[in-house]
Amino acid sequence: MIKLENITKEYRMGEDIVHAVSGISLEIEEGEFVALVGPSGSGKSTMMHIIGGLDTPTSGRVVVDGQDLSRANDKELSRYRNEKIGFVFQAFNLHPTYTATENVALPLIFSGISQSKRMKMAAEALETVGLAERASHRPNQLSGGEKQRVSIARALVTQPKILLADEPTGNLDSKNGKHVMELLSQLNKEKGITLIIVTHDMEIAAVAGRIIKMRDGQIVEDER
Amino acid sequence: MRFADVIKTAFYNLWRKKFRTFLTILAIVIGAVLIALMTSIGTGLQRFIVDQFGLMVPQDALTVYASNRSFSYTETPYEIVDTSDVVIRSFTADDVDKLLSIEGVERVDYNIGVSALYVRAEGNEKKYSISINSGPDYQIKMMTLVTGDFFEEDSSGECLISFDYLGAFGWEKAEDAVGKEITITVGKSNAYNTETKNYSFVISGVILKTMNATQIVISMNDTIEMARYYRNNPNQYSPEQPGTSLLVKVSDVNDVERVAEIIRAEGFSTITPNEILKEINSIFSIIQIGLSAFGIIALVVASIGIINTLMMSIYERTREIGVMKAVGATRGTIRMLFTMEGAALGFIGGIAGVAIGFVAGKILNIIGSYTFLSDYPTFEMSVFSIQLVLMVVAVTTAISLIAGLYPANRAAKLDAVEALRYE
Repeated sequence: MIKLENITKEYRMGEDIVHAVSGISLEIEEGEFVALVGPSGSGKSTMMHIIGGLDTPTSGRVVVDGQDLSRANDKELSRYRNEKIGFVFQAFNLHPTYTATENVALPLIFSGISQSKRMKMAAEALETVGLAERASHRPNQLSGGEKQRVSIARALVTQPKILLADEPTGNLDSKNGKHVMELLSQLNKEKGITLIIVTHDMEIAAVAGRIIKMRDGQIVEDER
Repeated sequence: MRFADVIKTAFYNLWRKKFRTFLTILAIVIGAVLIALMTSIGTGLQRFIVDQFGLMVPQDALTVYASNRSFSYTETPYEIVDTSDVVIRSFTADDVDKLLSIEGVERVDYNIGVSALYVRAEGNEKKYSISINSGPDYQIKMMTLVTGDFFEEDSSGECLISFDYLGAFGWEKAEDAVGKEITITVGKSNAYNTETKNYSFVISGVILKTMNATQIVISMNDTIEMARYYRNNPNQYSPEQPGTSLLVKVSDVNDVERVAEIIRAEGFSTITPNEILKEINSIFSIIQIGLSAFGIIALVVASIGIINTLMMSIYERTREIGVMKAVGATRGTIRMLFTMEGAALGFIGGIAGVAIGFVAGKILNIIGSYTFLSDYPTFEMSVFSIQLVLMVVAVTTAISLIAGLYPANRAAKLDAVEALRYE
């Protein structure tokens, strides 16, 4: 499903070249629940961005669902992100003036789906995350946990094969964090969505079926 | 992304920052008002001149010159190869016959020019400036009578005065003028006006003002007599000396261009009314461009405001752009969204500007009709056409769209990962 072959990613910071990821090879099967853990600067976020098609590796090959991302152009990558990937961010990144439904419907605008169909699909996604009654609320009228569930609904609305979550509980208290994690693992189990979570919280990682530990841009441990 | 969604999103984002949007649009509105108003005034003036031209110049007549009147004015001396290029030729009796024999030519008249020193009205010693107008019947009858009658073509001692002399001569109503006597004083031009002669005329009618304001119209016979005295030449405007130009009347107005071609083939020169009209219109297009230049300058300044507004908006919405990219917006989509925001600013500004300009033009017309334009009841100073409205909106939209390109490109090129991290 996801296949990384000898991936490196280098950044230029002034005079220095920073190796965010150096020579990683990895395979993730469809329906897996993977936790990418490691200290900050270990390259786990970069890995997630490369898998999500937000970033391209300096060298190596990324093949997801038969599509070679390392050779894709902006249009192909955008379409890939739109159709196959759902992103969940630590800071939710909801549009402050949009209602929950409008926020959830955002990815569908870029798929060229009509307004009425967008609203219908967004309502269904909100239903899935249990927020149907909050449909017309704006982000400032929602609790942190609710915001993250709206953001999960936004990630789900295009029915992607892969969910990528970057510290999804980082801005939540432990109770809400637990709820969000339950929702994510439920989606993984019931809908068979491949779930990759970036975290430094080992308690959260423990829920995952596979934990990949990273340090200095390399995988130090891969445990199922 | 659907085009309707692009437009909707652009307007939505402008609406989110109403005050900033308002200020940016205000600058565009100023430019649009200037362009709309200036061009509409240009159109108004053009219509006025063209209408006046139609009132003053018969469309079925030609002024024909004996010599080729293409004088060249150059700053450096140039060699004259053929003296006929610089000599102003006069017509001969044969030439007149030649013109009369052209098929479609109805009549040929002398093109008489004379200038007088001043005019006085009976019982009034005050002298007033004067410009004498004369011509064949078909020309005179084009003028609009306020009261009285035209004089007969072969009459003498009768005249028409233009409306503005009434006040000067102290007559309250146009009717008061009819039957009164005026005296025109002519000076001998080659005696430096030391010798003068008075000619008396009875007013037969009062005519409406044209652009040629202070005019008095007399018959051709009287004008010829005056001209002979003025130039001290008893043979002026006779078959021996028809003058350097002649008036040729064509029987059918549709024949004018054909007759003009034959006249030119004979070695004379002439300009048809249509050609003059074309010339006037082309001069006015230049004037209009000149007038709207102020508006264009204002729009260029406004477009800097648009760039600024959109750049600010990109900084504020960096994360939003990152999210849009993460959920599937291409660079092209982001570029289009911001370009559309720029274009929308120009579109709204253009529409508001045209509306304000239209109202201002109407107010100008009303003020004008009571003050400086009261003598020309049919003249509207500001004339709006649907083309003008569309042109202004198109120009403001296009300029704003172009202004939006740079910020839009900046937004499109933002790195998605960086944009998502942006605080």
